[in-house]
Amino acid sequence: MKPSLKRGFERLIGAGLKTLVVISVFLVPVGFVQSGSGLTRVLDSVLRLRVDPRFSGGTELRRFYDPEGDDSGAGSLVRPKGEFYSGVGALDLLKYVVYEPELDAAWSSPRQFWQLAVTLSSFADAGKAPLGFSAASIRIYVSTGGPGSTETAVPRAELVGFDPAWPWDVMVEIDGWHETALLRTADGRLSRRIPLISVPERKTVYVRLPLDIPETKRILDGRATRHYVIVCGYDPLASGLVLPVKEEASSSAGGGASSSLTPRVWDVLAPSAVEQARQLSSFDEAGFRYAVLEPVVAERGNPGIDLAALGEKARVEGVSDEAARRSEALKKASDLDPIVSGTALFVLGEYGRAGERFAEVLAREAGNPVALAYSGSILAMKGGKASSPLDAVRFVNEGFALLDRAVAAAKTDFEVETARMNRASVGAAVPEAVFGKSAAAGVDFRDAAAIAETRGDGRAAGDRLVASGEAFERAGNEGEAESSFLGAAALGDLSAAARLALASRGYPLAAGR
Amino acid sequence: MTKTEKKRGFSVPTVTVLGVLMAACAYFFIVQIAQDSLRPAAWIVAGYFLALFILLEATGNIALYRRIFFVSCALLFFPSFMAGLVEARGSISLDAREVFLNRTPFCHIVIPLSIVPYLLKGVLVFPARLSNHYASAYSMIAIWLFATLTIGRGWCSWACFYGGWDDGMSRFSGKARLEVRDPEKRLRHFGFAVLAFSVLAGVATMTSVYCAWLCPFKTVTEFGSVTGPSSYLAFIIFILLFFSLAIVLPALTKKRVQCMSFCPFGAFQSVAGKVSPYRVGIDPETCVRCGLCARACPTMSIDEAALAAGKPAVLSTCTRCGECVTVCPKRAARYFFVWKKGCGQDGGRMAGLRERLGQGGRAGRFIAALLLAAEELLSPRALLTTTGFTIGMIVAGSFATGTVARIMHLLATGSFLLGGAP
Repeated sequence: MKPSLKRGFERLIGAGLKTLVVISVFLVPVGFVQSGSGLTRVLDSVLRLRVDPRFSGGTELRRFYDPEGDDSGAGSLVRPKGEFYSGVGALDLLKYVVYEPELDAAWSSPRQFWQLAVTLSSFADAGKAPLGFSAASIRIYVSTGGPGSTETAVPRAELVGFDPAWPWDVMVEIDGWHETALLRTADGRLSRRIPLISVPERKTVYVRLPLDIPETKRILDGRATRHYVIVCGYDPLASGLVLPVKEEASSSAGGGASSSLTPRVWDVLAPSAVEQARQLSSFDEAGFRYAVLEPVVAERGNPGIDLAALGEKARVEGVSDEAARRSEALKKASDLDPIVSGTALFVLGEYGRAGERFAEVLAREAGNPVALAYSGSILAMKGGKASSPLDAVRFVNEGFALLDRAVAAAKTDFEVETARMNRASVGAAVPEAVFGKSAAAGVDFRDAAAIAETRGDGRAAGDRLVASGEAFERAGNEGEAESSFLGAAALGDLSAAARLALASRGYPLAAGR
Repeated sequence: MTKTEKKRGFSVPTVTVLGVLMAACAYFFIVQIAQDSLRPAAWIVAGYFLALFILLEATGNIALYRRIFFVSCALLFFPSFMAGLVEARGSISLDAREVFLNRTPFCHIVIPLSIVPYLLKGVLVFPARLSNHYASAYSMIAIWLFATLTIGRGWCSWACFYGGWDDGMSRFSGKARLEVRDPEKRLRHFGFAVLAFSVLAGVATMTSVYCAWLCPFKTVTEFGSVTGPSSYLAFIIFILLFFSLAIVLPALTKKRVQCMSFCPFGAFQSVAGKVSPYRVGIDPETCVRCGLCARACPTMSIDEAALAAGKPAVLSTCTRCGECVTVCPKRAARYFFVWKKGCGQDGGRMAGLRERLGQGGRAGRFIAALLLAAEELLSPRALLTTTGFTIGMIVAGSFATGTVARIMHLLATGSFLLGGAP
């Protein structure tokens, strides 16, 4: 290369680099502030950072859900008179989480413990307790498989007994008035305070059992443990600090007790309210035997569910459903109504022809929400096939503009459902790092599920709630994801794919589904 | 202001353009993001920073005005940071609940210590918020990435909210009471040893050992609650390290002892910052080997022996602070772009043309002034100082606003806390 040409080339590169530097000096910081959340999304999609769970008590082993609103014992208990116990949900157990034993906790003392977490429906705190919940006294009785007891730690406190097959050997008492929990062993040799973390914003209290006693050391071999989780009313003056229940409610006792043996328990961890009522009504007045509680089992996986078989079932069901959809669409593809034929062609994957049908509709009626919704989806899909990333982003954004118009214009249930499902599907399909639409998709799927449920189509509702949960998960919003998954799990009829999605995440699937 | 300094300043059009751009940045990064109630304080801070920037560019005295800016950032950072913690959680100490909830503020020093554990386990070994917070991991990583790609190790002299402590103390007295001589200059390598130790210890324990035990700046941010012998020991270590490395030794040696020899992030940035387009160099043709630059360098990054031998070299530990650039009587020390061979004279290519134009009429002089402004605006000095200043404002702006607002609140109400402790 001639020296003069080389010099010119070097100057050109130098000028280009300088220009880049100048642009970065002024535009990048402004862009940083203006699109801080966008940058975070991009970084998150690349790095997928998660804080080491050793800082938060370890990884979850099993999570159990208890129905909301079942805080009346066997169904008859009435809150005491006065404000202290009146908070809605203050005695309502919602979730219980068992963690893997943590042997090397970071920045924590002690470094070895076993964490358990209890979530209430509400941290209503009429008594202004230091830990943010004043009315509840939570008791966790655990059977780790050793010799234990079938009676409560404090005799005649909760008025319940425990499954003789699984006697408890270690238990914890938690209330909002002590900044530590009380650990007891069934043999009575140990009674000591242990660390407790209350997080009112999560309505959850976390307790850390030491791993230096024989009862908890047993769990280190990975064996299953059984747990009885009980919510009583907190009464500092009563036996075992448990609020008594009597026939009539007073300021110092709950009401609705049918017998002197009625358990002083407002909620117990059980898969359903019916099951809870059965356990809490099992006392025998004639034989003077307390109601017997049954434990939940904490072990790895989702007991009783064969995920492989469920996966195969979901695959077969998916193929069959798709075939049925295509067959139905084929019948309608040449329908005279362009909305019907356009939708059918869309299902058949003939997006070009479908787009033409919807364009016909929009030429006649520019604000037709169904045509707008499908046109938006088609435009966004075009983005997926664009050769240039800039074109791809432009197509998707233009598609979203149409989808937003469709949602705004939709009035009937059919229109709302179509518009939201289209927008949700596109929102869930496009890269979260670029468009950040997953959370909005979660909301859309949830709204579409509500419409399907109103129509009585529980199966579609379940699928949409699962899709909503998955979209929220992608957006990093675990609370909303959990809420959608729980909504799906509560439905009576679910597709195999929805059941698989729920079971693989550890959500309870009611028997018979 | 000496005549030399005046000559080093940019022309009025250049300073005007840079000033307008910096005013926009100050508005974006300080005023616009401030809550309504903090706006008056934000305007004061933005005005103060803008004035410093204009003085820096107009006089060319980078050493003085950068240092005032940098020290101001450090001093305005910690009261706001600590008061913010008291307002949010009732204490500056980090308790088990904050660790459990992953709410520990994330700082840039954690970045190099987290890389290997992240690559091994895919997790962040620090209990920080990940996003949606000024002190979250992603925010800090984004700022660090931008800073590394632009100013490289210049972070340590323009943006680090800790560095202002030892930078300020290193210029506290006029004369070094403790002369650091050549063999001790290997102290600058000690930072790499601290980095290596911190990384290895972090990998061994899968936690950030430096943060838990060795960070001097815990003293002016937060540290674990003193609950037992080990946390008490850590507390003592933090205080001893802070006063020795960030206060006493810098004041005695006139060197930035902490940044040079004990900060793992600084050592890391010496390597990572090689991607930056800016360097500081000394032109051997112009250099008269007076040694002023080497003596002025607060991180001992100029090799005196090489300088004396007529082969001046600026090491990768250089923090682009501009001390040597300012102090050099012959303007031999200067910023340059990495793609230029050597560090020859900035611009100047069109000096002849400008001179000819300047001898013409008014239009000629106008065009000459425009050409000069364009050359100055695209010079590495203008770009580096503007970028460094901007990043410093991004990092410290909201904290500085918080401190000024709290001072105003203190004067008005007698309480430094905005809204009181929880």
